[in-house]
Amino acid sequence: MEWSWVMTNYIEEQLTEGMRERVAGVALTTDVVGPTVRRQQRRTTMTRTGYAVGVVGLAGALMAGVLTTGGAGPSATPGRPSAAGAESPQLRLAAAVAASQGTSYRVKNTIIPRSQPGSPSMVITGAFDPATATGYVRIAAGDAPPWYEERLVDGDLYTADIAHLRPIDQPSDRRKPAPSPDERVDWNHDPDKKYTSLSWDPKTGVVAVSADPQQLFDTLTQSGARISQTGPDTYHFEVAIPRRKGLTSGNMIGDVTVGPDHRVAKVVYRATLRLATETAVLDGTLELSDYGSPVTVERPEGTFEQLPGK
Amino acid sequence: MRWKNSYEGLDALVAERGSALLGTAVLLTGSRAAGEDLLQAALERLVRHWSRVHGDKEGYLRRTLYHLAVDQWRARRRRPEVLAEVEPPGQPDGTDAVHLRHALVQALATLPPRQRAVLVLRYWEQLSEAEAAEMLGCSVGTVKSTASRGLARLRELTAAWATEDAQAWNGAG
Repeated sequence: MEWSWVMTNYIEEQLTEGMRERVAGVALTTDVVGPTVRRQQRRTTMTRTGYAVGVVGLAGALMAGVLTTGGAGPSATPGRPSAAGAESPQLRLAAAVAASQGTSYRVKNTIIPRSQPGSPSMVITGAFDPATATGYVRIAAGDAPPWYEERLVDGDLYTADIAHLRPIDQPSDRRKPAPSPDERVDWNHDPDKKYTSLSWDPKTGVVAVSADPQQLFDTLTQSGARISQTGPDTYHFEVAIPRRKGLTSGNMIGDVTVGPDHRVAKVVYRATLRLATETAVLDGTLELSDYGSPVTVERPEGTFEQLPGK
Repeated sequence: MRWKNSYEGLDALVAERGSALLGTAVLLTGSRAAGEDLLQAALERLVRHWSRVHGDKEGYLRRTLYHLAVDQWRARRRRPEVLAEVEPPGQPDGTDAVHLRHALVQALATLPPRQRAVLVLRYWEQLSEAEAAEMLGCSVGTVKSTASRGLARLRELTAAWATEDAQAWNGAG
């Protein structure tokens, strides 16, 4: 038979046979499990230790300090900047922290885990408006493209693991530009749920970037803090981080700068966390800005995956 | 090691099914290197969601392979298409059937990933249209039309080879 006739009339059979021939002898000879699991472990450890003392951990620690040294008082009403002439450093800082809550903000937190080999930095950027339940958070290693992103749009939460988006057919060409954010396609979304804040899977042991402030009060009043004023708008603090699952003890030492709007503008800190199996030391720089500005986030395009068993 | 407790069964799964999954990944991507990369990406996804994937881990891994392969198609839609040349098979002789099929599988790799995924599901995995639709999370109608377009494109390519072949024969005569 002429092969063109065969291809026209029996192309399915030829395709099946051709596929068999193509993969005959293909065998997995490299260890793919070990590197995959080790990468995941590094990511989890870094996230758990670093993010836990990120935005909320820090805000909470500060709040704990001011609460245990005299209470927030009337000047600490959320969203209402306080006069700078309150009686003590604790109250003045309490006013700044409280004024920084309950309103929209933009955040960048750079965390360097000193206790990890090579001290790979982690950069968390985001914005959040509690009034509209809208915001985003991205986590990246240094200057690399983000490997995790959440978007919250009017209470609808979209999460994306984006580590695999390296072009599959060009695995070794690192000169190629990374996929743009619009090209992320493996978003997870549950249309039946509404959220009031950006979330984080509690199974990873970390906390949300914009959790309910009341939860912070409840959690963080358990610890004590020492706060001193070091300049007109700067404060030094030393605070214990409350125990939680996986964390046996910890402390945070750093300096807070309050901006002209009487809200927290910058915090530079060192956190020491004693975990079950290791002690993590992290240096962080938290920058908060654009308080009160509108936050606009687009809903992502792409595949919204529902995991089996959910 | 500590992680073996966290991902119990992963080693065995990869040892038993890794080569078969790699074969599927090679067909989905068109090359061994890209197939390994795809399999690695799917494994990373599985590990990340390990505690939430109940029951059939291999099924999740296989489904993730297909979804990632199709997602790559979505990602590349915004980029300039790079069309690979498919070498037509040689003149008919006693060995050309193998070459034909080799060229056909090469041509498969030039199809858009969604068409490729559907054809691999239908003619490699031997799934029904309904099963393929379930795997990809789309309708049976989509599977039908996508498979039809994919096969039509392969027929076009083979028809072009036939024309080139006839011209070559005429030129030789």
